[in-house]
Amino acid sequence: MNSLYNIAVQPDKDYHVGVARVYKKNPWKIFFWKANDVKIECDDPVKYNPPVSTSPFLYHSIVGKIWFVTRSLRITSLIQTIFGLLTVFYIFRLAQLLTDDKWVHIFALVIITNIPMFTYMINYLSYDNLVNLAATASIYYLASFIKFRNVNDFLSSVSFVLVGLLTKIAFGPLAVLIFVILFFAFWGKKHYKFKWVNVVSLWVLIVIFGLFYARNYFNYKTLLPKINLSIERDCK
Amino acid sequence: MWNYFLVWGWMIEKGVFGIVSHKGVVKGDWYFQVVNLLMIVFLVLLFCSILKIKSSIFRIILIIFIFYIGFVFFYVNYHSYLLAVKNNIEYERYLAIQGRYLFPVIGPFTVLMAFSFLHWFRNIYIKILIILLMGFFFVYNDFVTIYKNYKSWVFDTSASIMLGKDNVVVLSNIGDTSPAELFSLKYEEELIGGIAIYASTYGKNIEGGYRVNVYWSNCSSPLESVDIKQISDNKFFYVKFNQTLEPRNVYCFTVEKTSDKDIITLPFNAEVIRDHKKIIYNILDLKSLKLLDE
Repeated sequence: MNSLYNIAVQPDKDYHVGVARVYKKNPWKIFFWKANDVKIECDDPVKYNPPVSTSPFLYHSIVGKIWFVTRSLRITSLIQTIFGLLTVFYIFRLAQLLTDDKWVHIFALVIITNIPMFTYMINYLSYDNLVNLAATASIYYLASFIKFRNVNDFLSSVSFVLVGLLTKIAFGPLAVLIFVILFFAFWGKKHYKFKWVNVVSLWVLIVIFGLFYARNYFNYKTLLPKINLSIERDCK
Repeated sequence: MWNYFLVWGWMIEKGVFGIVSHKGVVKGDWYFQVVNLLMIVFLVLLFCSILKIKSSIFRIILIIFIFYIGFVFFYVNYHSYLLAVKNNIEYERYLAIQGRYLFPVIGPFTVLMAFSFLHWFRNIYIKILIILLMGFFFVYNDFVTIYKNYKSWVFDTSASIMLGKDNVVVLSNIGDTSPAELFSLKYEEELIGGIAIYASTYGKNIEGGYRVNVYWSNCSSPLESVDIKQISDNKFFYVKFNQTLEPRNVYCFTVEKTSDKDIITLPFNAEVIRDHKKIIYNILDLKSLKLLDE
């Protein structure tokens, strides 16, 4: 089964690995404020479209930093499996929220761990894994907030929505729906007992989210600008 | 829209319960017939659950699930399809229909499926039986199938994608069948001849021993089967239909090995498409087949 790793190639692998490599070379950057700070090698054959500096960055930034520490792409790729396992965990917890019937919980585990495309996908580098985790976790915390009215679940749901939006803009429609449901669920609640870790992490995400998308909007007049890709290259 | 929905559903199903990627794993048609049945049963049970269950958690999960599926179908895929039809770009009609694009709601789907199948039964043994039966089906067709087939996966067998982009299929044993490939006909031409399909034979001229099965767009209702007379290396071979297929429709075909003849490869990949513009053509007669190879 070792050879399965070498042949389980997804079509956009080069792009994800390339962008992660850019962040590996810049481990102290969360995202690139200026496009010409990216400095992709001039003869790099990978087409970095969407642009590195103006497209959602969170996944590649995380993978790049892990790659910087581990020095091995194969070990770094294990982060996919961690994201996948966390997704499975939140699906299990969602089933527990829906019903007390433990057989439903077990059956949900059996299904999700044997959906071929899912089990295949959590083994290759792609931001889809983090988006799926963010979506599943935010839905779980949303449902938990509705059931138990614990404001920490509300904060966690919002945090995971921001994680999803910082990873892939296609998360947007789901984010809007979750925000709408959260808004109506939160309406009228007067007493809050929250954990500081949830508040701090949410504020960090809000600041990063605000900086990233505000920069895009004010510099380029759009949330996801299509800039000249050569600006990000280091061609002397 | 209904026809498009059926094609869309089929492709999504393949992309969720199969592996659709640069390379994939070939599964028999029987597998997807069982999956079709499970999905139909799931939808019926889900609908019944909607009428019966009053839980707010259930409704929230259901709303999120239906909203996202509907958004992807209507705003992303169907919108692209209409644009491709309007601009007469056939290849883009079924572009970007991938099961993994629905995975943000894989959690709600999984939970709803498990809940819909089990909560109707109070008897524990019935629940265990359902879990065992369906669990065996899913486990066998995921882990066991990949484990059994990964070597052939290395040597270029793959799941099918619309119009054969980046697929390479090898038919080596009697009964081997290529994954179902959807194709459509040019809207301005009425098909009175057949189709030409590209194949490689490793230098051999093969006479007989293969059959092309044509289906409606659901890839399960048969239309007709045609025995192939001759296949030459790196050329298109001709499949003459007995009945006329209509333009603007989507059909489906498989190539099946029916006897112990030499191996053929159906290189439905980007390189062939680049060199030959397509991997199948609808053509009038044998004379036009020769034009394809010039």
